[in-house]
Amino acid sequence: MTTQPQDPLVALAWHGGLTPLRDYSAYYGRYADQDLFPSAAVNALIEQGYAEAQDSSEALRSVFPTRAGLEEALRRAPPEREATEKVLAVIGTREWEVSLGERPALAGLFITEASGAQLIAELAALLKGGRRSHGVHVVTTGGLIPAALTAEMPGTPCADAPLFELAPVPETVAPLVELTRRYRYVLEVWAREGRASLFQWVGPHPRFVGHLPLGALVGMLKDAHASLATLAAEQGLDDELAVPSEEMDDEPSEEAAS
Amino acid sequence: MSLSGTARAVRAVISRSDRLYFDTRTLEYTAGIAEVEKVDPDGALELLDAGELKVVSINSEGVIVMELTPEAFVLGVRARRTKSPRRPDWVHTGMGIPSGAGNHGSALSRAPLNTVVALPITSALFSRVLKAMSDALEAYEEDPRRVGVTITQPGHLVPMRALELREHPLDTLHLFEQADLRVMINAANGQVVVGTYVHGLWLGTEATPISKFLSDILKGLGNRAGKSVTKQVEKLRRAPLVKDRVVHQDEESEEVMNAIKAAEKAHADQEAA
Repeated sequence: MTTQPQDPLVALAWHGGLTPLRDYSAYYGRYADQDLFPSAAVNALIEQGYAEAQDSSEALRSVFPTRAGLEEALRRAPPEREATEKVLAVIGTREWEVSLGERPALAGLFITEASGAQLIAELAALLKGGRRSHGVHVVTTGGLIPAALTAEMPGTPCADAPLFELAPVPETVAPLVELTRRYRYVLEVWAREGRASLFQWVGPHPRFVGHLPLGALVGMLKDAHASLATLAAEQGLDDELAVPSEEMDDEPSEEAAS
Repeated sequence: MSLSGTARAVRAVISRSDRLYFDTRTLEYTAGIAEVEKVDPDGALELLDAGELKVVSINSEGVIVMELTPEAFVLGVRARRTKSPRRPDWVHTGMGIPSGAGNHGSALSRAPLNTVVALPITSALFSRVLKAMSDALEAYEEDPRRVGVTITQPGHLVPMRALELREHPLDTLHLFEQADLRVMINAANGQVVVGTYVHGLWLGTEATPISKFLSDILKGLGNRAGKSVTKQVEKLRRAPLVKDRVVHQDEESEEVMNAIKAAEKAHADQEAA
């Protein structure tokens, strides 16, 4: 699904959250700042138990889907995806932007067989292609797992990137996860330093998610699916990452060149 | 009321960012956003007693955020005034929008900011940006997986109210916090974003079309733009990815942005009334 669904409930599940205008006359897709929804439609979803509003202490109370809302959205518009496009795991953080009380959402990279393979191939190509002194952008997909589902998706914290975790998607929530929109995520890879910065590049400005050592990222990708571990080995990623910085095939730094 | 030398020094330090933080857990006063510096508590208390500080917010982690009164800010900046090491020819500015989780456990990361990201433009600095843009566009044309690059440039974080000073912003830029700015060039969609990391957060501008970024700088430079720079800019502006940029499906919609602005304006008008 690449365009906005017409049904307000399906659209809410797809956007991941809606934010009100200052006067609460309408809501819009919280992350991409797209699509206006009349307040009446959003209020109806809340009354039906399909949506819940953020804590009232916030200046503007964003609205997120409930578990019942996601299940109803799934009944109304079951998503169709290729097996290789289904989300296997999320490499992300629960400490990002809003939460519903004690229940945080989980934002980060959506790892599918296809997106994981693409990431591994691009990281391998970047590491083999010389360690540039500038950051190189790698586009991939990510998204937001609503707070209504995250309790059912325990993750394993990453030792080298404490903000991040690898959270596999269990069968029980997999169809609901497939309802959510895939957003553009950009990994800004600083190969020379062996690290990357992750951004959700959506709406008027990129939103920062966190910094990730490349070794930690590759480790989580390998743990996400056996096929990705095999691919990483075939691409020699571990060997590339093991090269100490002083032995790297450096390009002359831009500063030195100038 | 006459202030001690310590208080005047603290005022000058605070004016670099117009932010003073008091952490109620550690009882420490710190100033600065990019360059955090502890300040003398006696000096800070003296400024409070003299009514030169006002509270902006108190966050849930127990940090009181303060800023100088307009008059005290001017005095603080004046005390820091030195001759500019090199006056830039122009400055590209954008409101800094914070995002990210912030430093885990850092109380400062949740404090509100009111800061402009300022990228100074000199002939050498601009040439470097232009070369990076040109290389990025070329790389994307050769390989569509190479969607963009980020380079680092020296810059400043400037308090919003510094733009209201009587002096020309180019003459006062060096009085505010220095920061390593990241210039993110999105070749695939012809956009540029400038920002930096503070308190574990990203403080970045809205994405600007490269064509607008270049036009604004060229206009600001006026006749200070050399022939070579003008030629490079014109070449870049003619590049198809810049001239007819491809809008990504995840970009904001104009209808929503207009609705947000109209609602914010109505709210501001109501507050003013």
